[in-house]
Amino acid sequence: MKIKYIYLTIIFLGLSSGLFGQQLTLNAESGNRAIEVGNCWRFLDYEQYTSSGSEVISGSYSLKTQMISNSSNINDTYIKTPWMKVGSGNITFKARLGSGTDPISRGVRVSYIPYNASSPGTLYEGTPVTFYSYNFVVTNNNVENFIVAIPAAIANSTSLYKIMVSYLGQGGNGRVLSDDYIFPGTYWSNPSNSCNPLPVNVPTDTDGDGVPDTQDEYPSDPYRSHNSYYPGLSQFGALAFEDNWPAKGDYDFNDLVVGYNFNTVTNGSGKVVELISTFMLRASGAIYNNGLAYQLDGIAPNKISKVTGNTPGSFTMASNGAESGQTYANIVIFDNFFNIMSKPGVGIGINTERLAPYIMPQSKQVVTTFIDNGVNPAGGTLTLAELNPALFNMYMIINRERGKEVHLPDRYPSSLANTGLFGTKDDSSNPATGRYYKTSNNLPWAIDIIQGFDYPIEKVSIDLGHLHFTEWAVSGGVQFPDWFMNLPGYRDASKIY
Amino acid sequence: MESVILKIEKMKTRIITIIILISTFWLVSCVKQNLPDPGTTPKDVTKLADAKVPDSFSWSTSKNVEVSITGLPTVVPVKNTLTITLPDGSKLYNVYHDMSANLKLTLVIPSTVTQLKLKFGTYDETLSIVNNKAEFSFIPVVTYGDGM
Repeated sequence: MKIKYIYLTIIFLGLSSGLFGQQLTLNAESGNRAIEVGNCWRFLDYEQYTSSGSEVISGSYSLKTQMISNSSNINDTYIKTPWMKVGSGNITFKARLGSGTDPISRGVRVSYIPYNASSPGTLYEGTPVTFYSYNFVVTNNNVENFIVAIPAAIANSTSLYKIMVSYLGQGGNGRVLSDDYIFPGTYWSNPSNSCNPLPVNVPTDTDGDGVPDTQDEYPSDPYRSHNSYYPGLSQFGALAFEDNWPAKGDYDFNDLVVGYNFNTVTNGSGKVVELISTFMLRASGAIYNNGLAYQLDGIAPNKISKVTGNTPGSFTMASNGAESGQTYANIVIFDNFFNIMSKPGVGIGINTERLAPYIMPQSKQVVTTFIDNGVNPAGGTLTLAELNPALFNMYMIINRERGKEVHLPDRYPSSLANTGLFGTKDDSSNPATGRYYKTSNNLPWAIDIIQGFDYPIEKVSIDLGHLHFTEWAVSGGVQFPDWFMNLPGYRDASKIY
Repeated sequence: MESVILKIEKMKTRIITIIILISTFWLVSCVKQNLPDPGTTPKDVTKLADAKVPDSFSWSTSKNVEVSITGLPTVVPVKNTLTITLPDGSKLYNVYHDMSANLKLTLVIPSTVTQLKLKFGTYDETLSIVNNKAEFSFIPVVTYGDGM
């Protein structure tokens, strides 16, 4: 039902623009022949549109062939329309001979090209049939108005055709100028499909969301159609935190280790429906009860309809599930790692000491809904480009002290961060310059490894396990950008969990 | 006579020394394969806690890439699935898209990636990343007198 509505809309738009439904026009007024080429017009031996005052026939631009001195057949210099369902009446256009010396002959031919489904090698073009011929008087440079009747054989046919207007000539170096082509009929090419014809039958769209089933990842769901992933389908990036902020820690980057994956789901209109975030809780070599949250930088909380699957504990959430008191949308994934994964009772935390039992990582999925069953949020909708992963500002909350946030270096704190801690102990944050969560030597309290990460064992600095980590950092990321990989000479495996 | 004996003794000592040196070299050669690869072993690396890192360093193994897509003013609305992937096929941006729309978006990708793939209908393009930017236009490049 909905797809029919869309097609009717297309037809209406086409009719109202004068470009679709009843006629195709070619008048060069786009000023750029490439636009017509993109729309499936074809030209051979043509110049760019001319805007020369002595050459323009009407408007600001006209079409101009290359020199015609040895064009003996219709395939040498031509304009072809896109595929069309030809209407009835007359094809009209204007043309004249351009300046040039000693032409022997100049002529125009109009032909139709039938669609041949069994000839992909010729772009499905059958053999042209010429139905109009005219020879210019070579001494006359006046504009001539052409009125060419559409042959009965193709008028109002349900079959597809292209119309070809060819210019021929011998001798001299003159060109042909032309303008204001009108071809009665309906545009039937698909610029996104190599200019092949539009499908004769309307593609199946079970849920009526305007997206054909063949392209719809949710063909039975009218509210969803496409998935986009960060960092990739079934791939997990890794976040690793130190929780002694604002004091330096031991740089083992295992006080909180989580994998992350985001799937941004959009609908047929390209609007974001939901953000499905999956966090893989892997390790926490900590005494503190650390939590995890993310801020959508620059996105107002009222863009969100609801949040499900998270465990914010005692932190205060608004009625839509986003955290209260925030300028931008903040989603608390969990307030306490150890409420989701229980300590084995041996060692400091979980999965950082070899002598302690291994605890299977736990997956936690949190869905942030923007458009809820077709109902937009109070703050309006977002496109996929507007909600891009660069805005996903993930951070740790230390020991359930809400103001004690640890973000990746130079990422903005949330509105609830305790700014009084900036610049204390080893932290050298300076909000005035946009500097956050770095020491005076620019060391961080959190790192993000988009390709995944094998973290160090307890109390072992990351550079002792990943042997090129420091070179990577000191070089500003130039050397060993693959430091985290398991390559020969890259690791001391005895220091990695 | 005594000096001849001394010379012989010195000669013996030298020969023994040479034998020991050769043996040592041979032994070292035997265990060479067990030593770390000098090409991948850190040389005089500063400890992390003492390291001085550039102010601008992001500590990230990813980078933000700004993708700019120029739409084609189409005769009729032309919609299709626009997909931008990593070279390995990871689907980063995937949406039902109007071909006439201009689009700017930011992708976060591994810092070592130098190309993106774009698909839209039968378009199947490779976009080079230059200075953290990638561009594509649905308006084709047309040269004078070509078959287009």
